[in-house]
Amino acid sequence: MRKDKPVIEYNQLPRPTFRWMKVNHLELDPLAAGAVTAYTPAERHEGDVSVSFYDGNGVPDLGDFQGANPEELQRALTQSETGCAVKTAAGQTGSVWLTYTLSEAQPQLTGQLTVEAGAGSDLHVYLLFEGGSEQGAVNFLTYVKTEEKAHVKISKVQLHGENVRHVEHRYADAGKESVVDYVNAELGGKTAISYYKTDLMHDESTFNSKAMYLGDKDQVVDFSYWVPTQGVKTNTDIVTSGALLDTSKKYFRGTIDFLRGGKKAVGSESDTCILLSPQVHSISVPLLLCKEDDVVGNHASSAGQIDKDKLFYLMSRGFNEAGAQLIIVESNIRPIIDALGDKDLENKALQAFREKMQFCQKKGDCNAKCTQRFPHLD
Amino acid sequence: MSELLRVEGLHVAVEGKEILKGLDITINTGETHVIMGSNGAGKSTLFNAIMGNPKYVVTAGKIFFEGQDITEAPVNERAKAGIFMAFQQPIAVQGISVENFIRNAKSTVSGEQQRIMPFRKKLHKQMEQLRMDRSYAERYVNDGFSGGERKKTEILQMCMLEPKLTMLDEIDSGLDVDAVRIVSETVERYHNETNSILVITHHSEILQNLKPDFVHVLIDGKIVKTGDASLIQVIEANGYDAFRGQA
Repeated sequence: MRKDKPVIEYNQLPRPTFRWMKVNHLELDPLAAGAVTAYTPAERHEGDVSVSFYDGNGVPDLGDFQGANPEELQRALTQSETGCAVKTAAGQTGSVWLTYTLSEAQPQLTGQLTVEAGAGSDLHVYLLFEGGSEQGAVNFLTYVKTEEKAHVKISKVQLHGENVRHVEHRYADAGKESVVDYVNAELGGKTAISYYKTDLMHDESTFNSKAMYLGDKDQVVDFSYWVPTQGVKTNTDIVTSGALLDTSKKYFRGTIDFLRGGKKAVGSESDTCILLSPQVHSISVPLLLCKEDDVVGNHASSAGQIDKDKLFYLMSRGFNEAGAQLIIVESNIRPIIDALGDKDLENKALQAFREKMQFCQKKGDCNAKCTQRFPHLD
Repeated sequence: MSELLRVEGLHVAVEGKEILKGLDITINTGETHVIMGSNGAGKSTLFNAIMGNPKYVVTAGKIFFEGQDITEAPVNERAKAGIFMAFQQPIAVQGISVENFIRNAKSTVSGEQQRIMPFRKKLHKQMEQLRMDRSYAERYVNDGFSGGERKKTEILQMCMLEPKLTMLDEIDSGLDVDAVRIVSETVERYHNETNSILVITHHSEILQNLKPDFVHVLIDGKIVKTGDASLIQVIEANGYDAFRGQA
């Protein structure tokens, strides 16, 4: 069938399934590319870490990595407006905070971040995407490389305006016995697209990802993970959890690919979604591919309405129905927010979550009043 | 003593099946009542109906609390009125600590914002009485707790929320002998002439401290016998068969 208008496809499943299921990729209208404008994020760091900014491309060859969309990935590689390189030398420890802010003056941003951790080092990168621009787009590439026994953790909070398209391509190459940890809070934007590929090609390498979201209005949140594992005793743990309001949609595509030779690998992925409106869509494809017989793979997906027993329990302690619902949804995502590891980021994510929940409860411009309707949970 | 709770001709159905078939009970302020009965008799159904669980549909009859008809009242309004139910299987609520949960619940039922430091001091004191480690206050509600710790957390909530009517639904199930003693002593310490206790139990150990004023035998959705504490020994000696013909 011919399409009447051009579309752009994001987050293609690495092993597509039946087309009629409409889960192989996400189709969106293309956005017009804006002028390239140099940009430097707000930055601070602690510990033994080097942070530098660069023009052009600072990311090495990514092989067959296609990103969320090959053209947009190419643009991030060749037309980057902001490049940041974060490195820790062997055995060192450091933390970096980077804030990317969209504004009316800079509503679009194409950028790169390279994170390289030397052997035995420990590096924590805190990313905040925010800004007052209602319209706009972010096309961001993150490259992660961990040497032997290194640990990299990236905590990201995305709080863009309600018509912003946020696309992040993230590739990680995990070294022997190294650990790659991601914690994501996707709360802003009209469309939030994450495509994370992590290669666990080395023995005893580990990939952990926790992501939370709260969709509202016609927001689309799309998480895509691809974890090829070939090292011996690798470990993969992917968790997404969130809730959908109004007519929002969530896609979860998780592919753990147990390749031949990756003996005693353990991989699990789960996706939990609370449906707060009959018009929402939660699509989940937790996929396990296996060419090695000596592995353990777990996958789980659940989508449902508020647990009535939990609602009753909370209301029996005096909370009204709306307050009890807020607690239940918050209890679902709070462990992920708490895992961000930075109080300021955690508070920003929690505040954004509560504002969205409260606004949507009453369908009106009543945030100030609504705030008083809910219990204070700090 | 003034009347606290009155249940009149209560019929309750769950998923279309009638469980309570015309139950009457009156509890005055300061009294301790015990409800005993075989499995499936409707004991937990009664508690859920009094608390207002929407799964339990009142098809006939009335529930009055302090003279007010609460049969149609929402669950949270009953909690604010002073009714508390300690669950047989307490629910885990990740993402909110025990301390914050109880402090918010206390603010909600009392209508007064709870100041952190005085609240925390009182909470820790109650935890000591229940022999609970203070670290539990920082943990998510019931998340990863053992069965015994969950039950103790229910009693901790009772102590902090200070309800007028406490309903203990098999609070002793899953507790070791020491925990049963600690829980029953705590409940008895809390109990005074201004509040009432309603207990469901299958065991007499918990009643050694609670000293019931009335014991009710519930068979097939109706209270068939009411007596004093001596009725417990009759039940323990003969079981419920002697009462079945009276349903």
